[in-house]
Amino acid sequence: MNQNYNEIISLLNSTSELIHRLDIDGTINWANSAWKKTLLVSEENYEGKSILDFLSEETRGKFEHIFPRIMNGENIENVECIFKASNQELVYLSGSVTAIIENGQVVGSRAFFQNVTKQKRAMEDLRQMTNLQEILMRISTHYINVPIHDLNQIVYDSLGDIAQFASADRAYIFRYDFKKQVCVNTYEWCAEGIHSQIDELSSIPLSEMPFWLSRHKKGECIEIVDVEILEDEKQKTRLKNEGIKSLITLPLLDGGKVLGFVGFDLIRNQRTFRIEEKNVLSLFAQMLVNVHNRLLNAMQIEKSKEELQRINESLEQKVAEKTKRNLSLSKNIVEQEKLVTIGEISAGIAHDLNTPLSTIKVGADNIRSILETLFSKQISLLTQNQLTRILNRIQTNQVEMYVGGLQLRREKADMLLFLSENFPVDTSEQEKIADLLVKSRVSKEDSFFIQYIMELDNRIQNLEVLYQLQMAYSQLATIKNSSDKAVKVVQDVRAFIKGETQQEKRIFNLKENISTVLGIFNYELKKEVDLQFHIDESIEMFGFEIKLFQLWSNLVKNALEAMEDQEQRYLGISAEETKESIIVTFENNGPQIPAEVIENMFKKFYTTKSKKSGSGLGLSIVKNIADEHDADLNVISDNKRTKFIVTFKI
Amino acid sequence: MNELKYAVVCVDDDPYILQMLGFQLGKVINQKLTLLEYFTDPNQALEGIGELIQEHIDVIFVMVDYQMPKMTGAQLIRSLKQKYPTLNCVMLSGQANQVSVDELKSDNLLSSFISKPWDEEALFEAIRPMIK
Repeated sequence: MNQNYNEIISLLNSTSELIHRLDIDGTINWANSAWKKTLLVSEENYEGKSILDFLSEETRGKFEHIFPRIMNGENIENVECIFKASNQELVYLSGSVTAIIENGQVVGSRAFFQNVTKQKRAMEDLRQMTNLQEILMRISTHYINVPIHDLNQIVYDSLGDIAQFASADRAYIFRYDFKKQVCVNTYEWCAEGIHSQIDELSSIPLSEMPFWLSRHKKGECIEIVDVEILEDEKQKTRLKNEGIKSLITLPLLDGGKVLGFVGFDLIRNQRTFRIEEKNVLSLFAQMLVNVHNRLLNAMQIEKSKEELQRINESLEQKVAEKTKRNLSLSKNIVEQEKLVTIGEISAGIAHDLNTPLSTIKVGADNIRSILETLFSKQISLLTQNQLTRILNRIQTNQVEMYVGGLQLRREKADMLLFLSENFPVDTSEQEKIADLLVKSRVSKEDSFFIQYIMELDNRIQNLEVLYQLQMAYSQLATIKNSSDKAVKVVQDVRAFIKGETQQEKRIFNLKENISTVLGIFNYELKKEVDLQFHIDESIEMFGFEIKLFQLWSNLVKNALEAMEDQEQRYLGISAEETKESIIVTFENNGPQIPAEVIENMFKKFYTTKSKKSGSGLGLSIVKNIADEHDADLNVISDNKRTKFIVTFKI
Repeated sequence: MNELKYAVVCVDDDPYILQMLGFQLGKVINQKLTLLEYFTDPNQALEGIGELIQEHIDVIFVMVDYQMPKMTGAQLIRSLKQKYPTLNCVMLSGQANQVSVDELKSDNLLSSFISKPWDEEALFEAIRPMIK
């Protein structure tokens, strides 16, 4: 009997099925090895415990349902329940439960279960993957069909869908801004109860996320399973402050270019992502890139449409006016481009005006203070004749604008020597005289004047007045010069704007013509451009002066834009006159222009400057004006230089 | 002649501005002890200031325009400060790039900033702490 019992026990212990026997109140009476092993319960320490302690929440509810039925003597097949192992992991079991009846009385129950956790998990995974794929399908059809202005909402919604299925608490998209060396949070989805971060993350320096960019560039995703064990302290602190336990980010790659990344944070629980999940997430990332590109294209198209419409409208208007005013269409376009150009150069004009105006203002102040000094003490010490003499000298002598201190010192030493040899007076006076002579720009070759001064009793006073007046005059000259400069700026701009008045071709000087344009661009050109402007003053041209301003200014503008990213900028402008033609060359060191661009660059609305305000008209105006002058246009571009050559036939 | 101890240097590509400055600075600077030197070319200024310092002349301050060909005033000040960290640099400008001026200020490289057109009083106010 005993041996039989032991044999049965060992039989029950050797099966992979989980077997237990419960007392009538649910206390575990006995469990086999497989049971204990699966639920990680050590030998006999289930003793006295209720089966409820080993059930998941969900199954507990079910149990309360089933147990009374068994106690009624019922046997139940195909029971599915979820147990909880001592390490809290869930174990899925499937089997049957039967009542133990002795003497017609139910005294307990026994259950035989199979562990179906693996199958369950696989099915759960499969279900989840199917769901994810369904979402992706749905999103991708959405992305394709949705109107452009709804795309933002779709991106946001899909971010949420994907995040929920990846059981993430927060999902987001960042754009890399390489110019500013930061990344910018552009979209964010948060699960309920999760704090939004988007406002704090408007610009994270790339330096704070070491390796992210380089790994994203390689197309790798970045997965941090446990923020706590990060080595990089800075990153760890940042992520911890955001409450993140784990995260995964995937690059948004467009061709070889990384635009940004999409990422998912886990805040409540830490977790790893399975390879299949990563695959789906990277599919999603690719989808986002497609959306981004579609958006860009659409915006481009929209913009071109608007641009076209705008130009059309304005053209239509012009056509209507044309009958009245006999204006040509192309002039309208030229006009528009001119306005763009004027807008661009107005900052430069402000600078070009401010400088001479500064000089004028400061000069006026200075002259006032000189006059005050002169009249308050000095002038009264001189006779009428002495004053006349000084005034004559100043009016007939050109004064130098400024002399450096070192040169003054040298000249003064020289003058002292000269004075001590020719007009010996006491040393301290000599020093003073030499100083004033040099400062008044009287040289020792001017011995006649020096002699006149030295013979005066009040020579020091005379020299003081000479010096002050000389200063006043030289500042007056400067004011005059600066006013001329300011007037020139205004004239250049007016000549540029005036436009249409000239009806007939005229003879004019080529160098002056191009100089006016360079005057307009003065400010831009001063900004680190090596300008080589060599045109023979003798070259005369026959044509429309104002229109050629526009031709040159578009070539200059084009060159400046082409060289924008260049460290060293070079702009060479030269002209050559032969028997049959005048050849004007604009040369810059911008990047090489591909042949297909050269082919199209003179067409209207053709532009490669997608990001800038390029209207695509500049070079078409060049072409128009060249045509009007019967001139040929040639472009030669290699990796060192780009040349625009305009050949006017004589 | 040998009592030259100090120097003040002005750099502006516009000689007229230098002339105006020279006149005004001449009112408050003792030219017996102090050399008033001007440069229209920032590269020459770099060289010239180097020579002065080599001759143990105390350069009280350097006044620099922002917009100049070849090199901006901000770049010039950076180069100067790198070589001579204690040198006082003043910017006098009408069209300075605000960002680079702010950067200079935040890097503590600028003793003062005067905008064009300027008042004589504002100029003296700005340089007074340096000329003692």
